[in-house]
Amino acid sequence: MGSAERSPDPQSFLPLPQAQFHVLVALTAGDRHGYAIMGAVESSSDRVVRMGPATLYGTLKKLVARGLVEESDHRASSDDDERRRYYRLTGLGQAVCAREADRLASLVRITRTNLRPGLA
Amino acid sequence: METSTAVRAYRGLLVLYPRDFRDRYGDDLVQTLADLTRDLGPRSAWRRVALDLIVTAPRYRMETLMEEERTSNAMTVGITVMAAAGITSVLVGLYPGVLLLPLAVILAITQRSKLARSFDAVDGTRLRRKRLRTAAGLVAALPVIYLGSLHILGDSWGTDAVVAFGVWFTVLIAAVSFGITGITTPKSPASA
Repeated sequence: MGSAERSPDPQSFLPLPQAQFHVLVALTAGDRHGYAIMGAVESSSDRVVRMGPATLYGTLKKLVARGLVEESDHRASSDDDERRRYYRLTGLGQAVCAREADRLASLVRITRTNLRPGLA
Repeated sequence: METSTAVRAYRGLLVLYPRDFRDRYGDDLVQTLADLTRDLGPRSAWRRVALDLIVTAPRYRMETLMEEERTSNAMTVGITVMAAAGITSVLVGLYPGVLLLPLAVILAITQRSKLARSFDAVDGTRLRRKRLRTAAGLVAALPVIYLGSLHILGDSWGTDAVVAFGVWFTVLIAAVSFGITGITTPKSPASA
């Protein structure tokens, strides 16, 4: 019997909770450690989303468990603190992130189309 | 507060989180507090960490409690008891007891939605298979218990018969409950 595992459908992960999507977006730029992810989330949201440490690591825990993120051996530089854990997107994580971005883009399109007359 | 004292204080507060979370991420959390203190100053760092602690500690505790398989199994037992009590009450003429049946269904649906949110802690596919196997085993036991009772009881239909019927009926209810909770247990996305 074939033992190859079927890859889960990225669509089945949607919609993503906001914190999870922010973390995935932060990791699209490359491998990052927890504090760097926190900073990236803050700057990408114009400081609207400010995660606390436990929110961040709770979110990472869930993303790792769902197979969207994994720990990596990456180090930004040789003098980087080796106790820091780096994270990166898995292939599935990239696919889910892209699908969620498409979904939100579609919502934005609908919103703009519907509200444009009122905003004029 | 000096950094080392602050770090010790925060490390002490981590006891508020579930053990597996603090074992896995305790050092990272403390490191993040040190980073925040360096970049924002102790006052802002602590404000953020304290708010985070207040929000996340009860939530993670609750999630751990609700997501654990044993809690889910306890809910299955609850569903079984409710279903049995509901059916029994109707059989003995206490008709309002039938209200326990919709309550059992609501509990089963609640359990399903909780499980669907907890695939990082529970392998839904494995749990579903286990419950359905249990239900099948119980269904298979029903005729065995029935025929066994007939053989043992023979022509005597006194208290022993009531006990035998009670056992058969309990197994029937358990089979139905495991069947319902097995069917309503969602598969994990990875194997869906």
